[in-house]
Amino acid sequence: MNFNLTENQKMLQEMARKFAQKEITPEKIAEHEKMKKFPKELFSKLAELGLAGITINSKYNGAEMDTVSLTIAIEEVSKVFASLGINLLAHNLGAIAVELFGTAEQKEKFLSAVSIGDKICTVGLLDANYKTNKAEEIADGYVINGKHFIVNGEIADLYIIFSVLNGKVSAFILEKEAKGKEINNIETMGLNSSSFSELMLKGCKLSKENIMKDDINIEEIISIGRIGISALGIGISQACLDSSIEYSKKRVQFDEPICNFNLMQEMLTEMEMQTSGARLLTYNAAFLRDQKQSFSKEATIAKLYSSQSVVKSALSAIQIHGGYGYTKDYAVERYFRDAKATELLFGTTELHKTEIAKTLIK
Amino acid sequence: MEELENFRAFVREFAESEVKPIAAQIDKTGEFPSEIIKKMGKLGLLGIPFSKEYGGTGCDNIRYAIGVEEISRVCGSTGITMAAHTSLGTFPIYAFGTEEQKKKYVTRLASGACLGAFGLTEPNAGSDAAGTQTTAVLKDGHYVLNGSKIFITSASIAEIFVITAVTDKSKGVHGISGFIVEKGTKGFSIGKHEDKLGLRGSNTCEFSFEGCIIPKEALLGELGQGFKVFMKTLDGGRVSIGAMALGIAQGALDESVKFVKQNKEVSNNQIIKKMLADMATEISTARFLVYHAATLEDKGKTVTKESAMAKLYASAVAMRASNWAIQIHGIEGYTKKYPVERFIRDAKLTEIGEGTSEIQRLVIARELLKS
Repeated sequence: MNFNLTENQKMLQEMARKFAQKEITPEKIAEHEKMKKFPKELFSKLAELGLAGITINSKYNGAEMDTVSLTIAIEEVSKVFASLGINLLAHNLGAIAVELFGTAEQKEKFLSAVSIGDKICTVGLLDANYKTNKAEEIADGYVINGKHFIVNGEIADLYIIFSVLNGKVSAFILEKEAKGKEINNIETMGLNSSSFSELMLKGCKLSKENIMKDDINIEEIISIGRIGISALGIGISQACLDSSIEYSKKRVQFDEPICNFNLMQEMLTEMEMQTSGARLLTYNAAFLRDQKQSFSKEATIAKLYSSQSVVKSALSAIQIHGGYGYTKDYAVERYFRDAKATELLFGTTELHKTEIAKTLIK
Repeated sequence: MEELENFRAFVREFAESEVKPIAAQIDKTGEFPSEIIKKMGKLGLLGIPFSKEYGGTGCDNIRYAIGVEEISRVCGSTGITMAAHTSLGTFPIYAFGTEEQKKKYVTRLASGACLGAFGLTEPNAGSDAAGTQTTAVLKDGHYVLNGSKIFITSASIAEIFVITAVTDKSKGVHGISGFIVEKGTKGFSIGKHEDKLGLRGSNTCEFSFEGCIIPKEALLGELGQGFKVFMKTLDGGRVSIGAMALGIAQGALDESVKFVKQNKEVSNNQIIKKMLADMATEISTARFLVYHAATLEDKGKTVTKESAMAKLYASAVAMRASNWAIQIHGIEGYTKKYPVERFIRDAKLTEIGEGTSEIQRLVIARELLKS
């Protein structure tokens, strides 16, 4: 087995890492977190680097790279600013949905602009119980009703909405101007700069041009989303570890740097082990997709493991930083608030426990 | 016991009707709940374990634990303000003060006329609490203080402060002494307000002394007895933080049960039922540990091991319970529509303040390994 990144993947990693270090400064993060503002300038810079359509075909301005590359980009950005990481994920996921399920006209109309970040995209999946999202065919189109939790809410130009039409999963492209839609910004525990919103569709009328292809493989989108959330978790987990190593080496108590104490060492070791494990699971799931093998179960396992791990890592990171870790002087408290979302987005931990078991017993 | 349950009902009624409605707001704005604190003073909730002779409510440590628990159940910020004021700000003077000091200060504190604060922690004295660098030099019949303290609860609101300072560097831990300092003393200034993960309605600041002159009578306890003063204070403080954590955990359970009852689809899931069951069981265990420590205090026993166990366990339970509570609420548990995301942010401090969980474990192990 070759666990090494390819040359292209290494270049992408290097580029994303350099960008994150140089452009995503603590001041910019603080500003966006405080104003709860979508980091548009940073997103535009990511688009300039070709990261707005990482896996999209070059005929639509995409970078035509693989799922592993998408995973790398999300991890590297999330390591520094998880809100931007999830913005990047949602946008790329929308682009992938258009490429996979868009009609020829829709791809022509939207995909090239999306891939260069000229149009910002987001995805509205089905709610947990598939109850509120319903689409109905009417005379000259469709009417959709439902509620979706989304990121990029206030800034998105395109919403890829999944709904249920005649008992079957269907997808629609909503443009910003569509009537019968309401976007409410929601205050959350973390991911404060992700423009986390509630998209309410109340009698939202769409024309026949807005419905995507007939055969919607929503599981593929959910699975890629889970790989992305998993990558986000790994990024945060690595940041927690890096911060904890640095702090524990310089903080002196009882005449020694605290990294010398066994209980600190135990936490550092667990963080390293969890981050490594999550990384291997996640990259494996991405690799399987790139090999055109089934990857849904692996994506879910990766996400389940990565999300639980990153929450533990973040709590340990705060613990290692002591009283200082409880203040906003250090980033670890934000890492924790951001990390917790990974156990809830694209399905909860509890849901995954049932889903994976069902694949084992069928 | 019925009387204890009557006391609990009394505090709960106040907590539900007066404190709960402002909890989310003060978390958002960081505004200190002065009105609530005033009301608590009037109800006797700021001096529960102190005798009426000194302005207290004349109750015991177990009622004090219940009081902190019930307030924290709805609002961690108000809970910690109450606990820090009582166990850290008032207790040291009550336990170690002269008759004069008790009459002068405990009466004001226990009645809630003003708040008290405890200045132990310093930039270089965190877990290593005995690494005190603040100095108190006896000069011309008074003490001159120099140094700084950090992470002090209610520092910019309190009027009476108990602090530790080195009076004799050559004596190590036995060269630390306790002092009472009043707000507004020249050379005593409040510094940075901390912006925190949780407990955002509680006030946490730095303060510093620059040539601050205090009278000789400000010495609390005997010279060089400071370590004993603060260790005993922390023993009691840990019981109160255990009670605070217990309250937060109970709040998380109550919110979760309420949510599950309103959302039938969630209630069918055994994993959810397991979380509720484990929460309830762990909370019961934590309650026994906290009340046991409080009962021993009421019997005049030293509770070093028991208070460390109570805090260690209850804080871990508060973290698990609030974490599960968010999961039970699903994605909406991550939003500020529900209080559960605030509960875990508040709970995290209980694993750190007044001695980290790691320190609690070392304290317990040390007690076990004593010959």
